[in-house]
Amino acid sequence: MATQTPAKAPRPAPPRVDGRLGIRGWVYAGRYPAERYLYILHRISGIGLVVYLPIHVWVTSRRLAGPEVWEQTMATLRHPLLVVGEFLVLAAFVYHAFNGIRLLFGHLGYTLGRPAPPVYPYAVALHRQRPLTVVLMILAGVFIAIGAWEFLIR
Amino acid sequence: MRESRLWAAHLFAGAALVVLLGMHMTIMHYEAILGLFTGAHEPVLGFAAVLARDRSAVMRALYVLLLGAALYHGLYGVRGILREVWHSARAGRVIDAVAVIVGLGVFAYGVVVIVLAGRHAATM
Repeated sequence: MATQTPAKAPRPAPPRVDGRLGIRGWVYAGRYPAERYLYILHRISGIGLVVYLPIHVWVTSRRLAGPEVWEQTMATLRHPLLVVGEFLVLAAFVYHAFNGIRLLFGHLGYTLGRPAPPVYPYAVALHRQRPLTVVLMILAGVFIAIGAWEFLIR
Repeated sequence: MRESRLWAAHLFAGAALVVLLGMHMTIMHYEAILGLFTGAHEPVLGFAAVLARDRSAVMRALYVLLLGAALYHGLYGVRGILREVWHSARAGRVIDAVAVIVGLGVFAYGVVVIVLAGRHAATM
């Protein structure tokens, strides 16, 4: 007697993930600490840098066409709007690098502190790393300010 | 396991970029401050200065490393963000494929430019 294989049941729809805010959740999903906003800015600056990278590779490839084309390209880049754009790239890199150092220390566990009994007032890892965060952000501000000065005196 | 390795490589590339891109940005954008220490006054974006950097095998190797690290770190980061926004398995596969294609394409183009620039510089 031939056995019939049962018809394949239709694949169930993927479960709806409730409470998921998507990109809106980046900006606000309750009371975020300052570090969360630094992280959002980290992402935004990172996206900007990724978009800029292929453009930069193409622009610098213009040197293959010779000195005249190169100087012409550099002259185009001296347009005020493009100079502002270039400064924003520098600022994005400086911020991304210093905030990245903070994230790297956090990811590797250096700024989390040792495990301790939950005695009130509770030790919070974010509070432990706050001094490092402040120092790194001041350094980022100083480097961005020096970069702005370099652009102004060019 | 695969994801942990990709993530660890992302961190490693990020740390490398702080050094490599830090050097690149310092040379390109902190010219006046750097000049105080090195005494160099030649414009870094002048064609002669660009040629001098292209002639150096060390600089060309650093450019390749910088490009590779930047593309990996950047595209891995964008991949994570996009996978957060579109979180189905199918979307994940598409995002991965696009990231790999874009990464390899830009890397190949950049390496060709660096190699050709080295050859041009050697003949000038």
